[in-house]
Amino acid sequence: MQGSDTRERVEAIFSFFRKRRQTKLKIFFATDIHGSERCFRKFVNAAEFYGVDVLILGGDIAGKAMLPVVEQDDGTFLATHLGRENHLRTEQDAANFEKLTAEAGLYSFRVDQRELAVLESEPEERDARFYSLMFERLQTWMELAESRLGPRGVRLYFTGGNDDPEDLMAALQSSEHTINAEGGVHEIGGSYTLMSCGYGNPTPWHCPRDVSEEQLADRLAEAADRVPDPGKCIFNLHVPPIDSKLDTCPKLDTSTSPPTPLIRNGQTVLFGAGSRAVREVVERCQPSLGLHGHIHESRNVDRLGRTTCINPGSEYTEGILRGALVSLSDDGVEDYQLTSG
Amino acid sequence: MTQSGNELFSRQSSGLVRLASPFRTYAFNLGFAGLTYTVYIFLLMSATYPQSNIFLAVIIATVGFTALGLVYAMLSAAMPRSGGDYVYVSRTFHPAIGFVTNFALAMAFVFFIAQGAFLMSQFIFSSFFSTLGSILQNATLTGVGAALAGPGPSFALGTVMILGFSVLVAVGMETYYKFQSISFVVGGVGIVVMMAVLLTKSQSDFVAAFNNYAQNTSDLPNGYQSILDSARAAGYTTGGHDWSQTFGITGIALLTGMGTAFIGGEVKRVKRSQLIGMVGGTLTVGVVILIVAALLWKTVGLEFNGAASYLYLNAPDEYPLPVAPVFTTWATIISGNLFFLLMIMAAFVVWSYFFLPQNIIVVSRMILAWSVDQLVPAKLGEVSQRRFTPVIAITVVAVLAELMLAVYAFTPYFSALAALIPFTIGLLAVSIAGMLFPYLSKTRDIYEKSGIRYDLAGVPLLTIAGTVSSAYFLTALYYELTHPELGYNNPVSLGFTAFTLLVPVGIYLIARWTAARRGFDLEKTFEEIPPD
Repeated sequence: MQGSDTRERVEAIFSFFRKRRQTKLKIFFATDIHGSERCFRKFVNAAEFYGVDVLILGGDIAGKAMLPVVEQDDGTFLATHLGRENHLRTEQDAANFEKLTAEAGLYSFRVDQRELAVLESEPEERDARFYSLMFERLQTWMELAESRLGPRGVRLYFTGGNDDPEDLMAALQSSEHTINAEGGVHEIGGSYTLMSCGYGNPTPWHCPRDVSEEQLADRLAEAADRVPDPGKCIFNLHVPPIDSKLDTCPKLDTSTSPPTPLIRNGQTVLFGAGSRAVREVVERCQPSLGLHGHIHESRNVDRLGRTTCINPGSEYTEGILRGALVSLSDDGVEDYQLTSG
Repeated sequence: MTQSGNELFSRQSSGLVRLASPFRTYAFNLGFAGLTYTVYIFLLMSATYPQSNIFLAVIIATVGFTALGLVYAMLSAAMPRSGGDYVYVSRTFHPAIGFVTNFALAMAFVFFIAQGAFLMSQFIFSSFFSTLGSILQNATLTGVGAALAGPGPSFALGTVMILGFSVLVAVGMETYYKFQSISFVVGGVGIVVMMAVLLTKSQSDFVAAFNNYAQNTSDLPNGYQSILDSARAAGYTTGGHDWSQTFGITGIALLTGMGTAFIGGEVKRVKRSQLIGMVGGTLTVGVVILIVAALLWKTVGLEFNGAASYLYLNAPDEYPLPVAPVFTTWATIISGNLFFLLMIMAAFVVWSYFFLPQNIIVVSRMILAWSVDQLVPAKLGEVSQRRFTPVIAITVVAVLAELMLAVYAFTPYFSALAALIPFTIGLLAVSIAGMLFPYLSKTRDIYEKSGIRYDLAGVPLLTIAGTVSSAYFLTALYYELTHPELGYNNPVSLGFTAFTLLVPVGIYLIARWTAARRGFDLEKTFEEIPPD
């Protein structure tokens, strides 16, 4: 029929301009959410929002601080946050406050005065409470992810970062759709494998999983040896390669606690805080894709040989999920787009 | 291991840093403010806006730009890793609006780079050599001063400035920062010396010094009175006040205290002193301009300043001096000796070039942000890993600035005010974003989680600051667009404005189309993912 002939001709003209797509796998990657409830829920919903096949959550998933919501004698609550006292008069106020702070990655918890005094004086008690809060939130997250991703058949691969305690990561169990990828090599679809390592090179904060460059190199080499085909592998390595576009951050004066940004001639001194071991393993193995985090302010894309390396950055405290959409074909990275959801 | 603090138990984790000192952010903003553009205020004030009030104009501009500085300070505290004003507007309204207004602002800054580079020769160096020649009774130096005021030498020196600072910023940031620190000290001392000279000299001192200068350089006896008489004969009048003219010149007071310095790490405890530090630069510049205006009134006479400006712009054949009638000229004439002359000129050279590299850096960072979002080719965002500078973006800025310099120098197409409408629009967008930020569904949560929740009588301080700066820029825009006699509203300026607004629309549509070809929905990459 004439109408369909015309339609086919128009389609043929437009297809000339339309890029031929050979996408075999579409992934969404985000990292360094540091306990942010809001960011994790967005991350899980990103599967449907962006229409991807796989979600990969980079390291530093546990929060950094717990915030006591102290019950007062009159039944109200008091919590001090960002320099101001929050007088929470009702149970609902307290719940709202806890929700708000959880969205920024904090662990708000109810205590009375006596318990607070114990926590302030007993480091072991604090550590135990912290561990409990971190584990509970991560466990809840994985259950949420399983319930939402299962019906869509999308898998979520997560790993820890240098901030995340080793015992915490070891305790998190995989389920059908949420896979603890730490230290492992997994087939993720489209004939691609995923190799993950959340350890990091030394930082001024002496984080739980900071190791020396030599130790990091050994871990990476051991994992890389298990990769069947590096050319069809995604390296999910928390710390970015040194002296790439992905690792620029202010240099710090570590003689103070906390460290202070180094200022020279009135300006912040910048440097590359990435890992030499990571750079070497990426340059040696030349995977299709490198996914990195760790340096929140260094959102960028770089190429090391044939490897596309991405650090989407992080704005978790604002509840903004920075991420990267990547489409992969048989020949490697087909295309990418950094997102700000 | 966890540590106990006043409010939080924090564990050993990365990212916790001390806050930057307020003084550092103050110094950055002080340098970014366009002190050299105050030259324009005094030049154009009387010539084009004879019924304007310089004091009112500067006060209004100081209030408006201080409020804007507060908006920038608070938004950068709420979103410290966001990437600046392009993201503030994109997040608050829409990425297309963010890109278009940011592009307009970028083009305005590039224009200011070109214009500033041109003025270095025309106003600063020409005054210096002319006055030096007068003091030393050296006709050659006086001749050099006159020559430097011409378009050719101004273009040549401007080119040296643009290329020199671009190279410095691209390959030698450490050297540049050292240079900037020294410049800051020299500029500060020189300004104080200039004020001291103007304060300690009387108007009769200036008249005598000026008459001597006019005799030496232009063979003009009794030059002070002669200029007043010539201007009046050519139609110069004084007296009366017109609010539209006063508002007309506020836009020229480019006090842009927008430096968004890094002020915090992961734990956003924004102190009031931090905010004061960030707006202090703008306030300082506003106060300095007012003091200069007062000193000119006392020592030079605003009527004389206006008369000379009037002749220079409206009856150039009657203008007798070899250099422009700007306050740098008056200050160097009255300086009376070589040492003060050198101190004052050093200050003006410093303040004139100070904002050039800052603008190059700011615009190149804007380009970098656009390239990371793939609105412009990724190549433009290439960063040198040795020096952490966006070399290609800096090159683009330099090329655009050089093109604008050529048009400015050798054609009548660019008036001095050509870029002010896009500049106003760009800053108006940020102001409105700040005003609405605590209330819009897209941004309310970010505000609620931030450390900037200061309020006055229940109204967020951010909203108050945004409202004040929005009112200022809306008023300025109204006068810019509806009063052709002010000089903004002419075909060339409007054409330049249209260019700065329409080109990014085209770029955005192309970026959207290419993203679709690549299998991505550009709108969705900026859209908030629903958390529930």
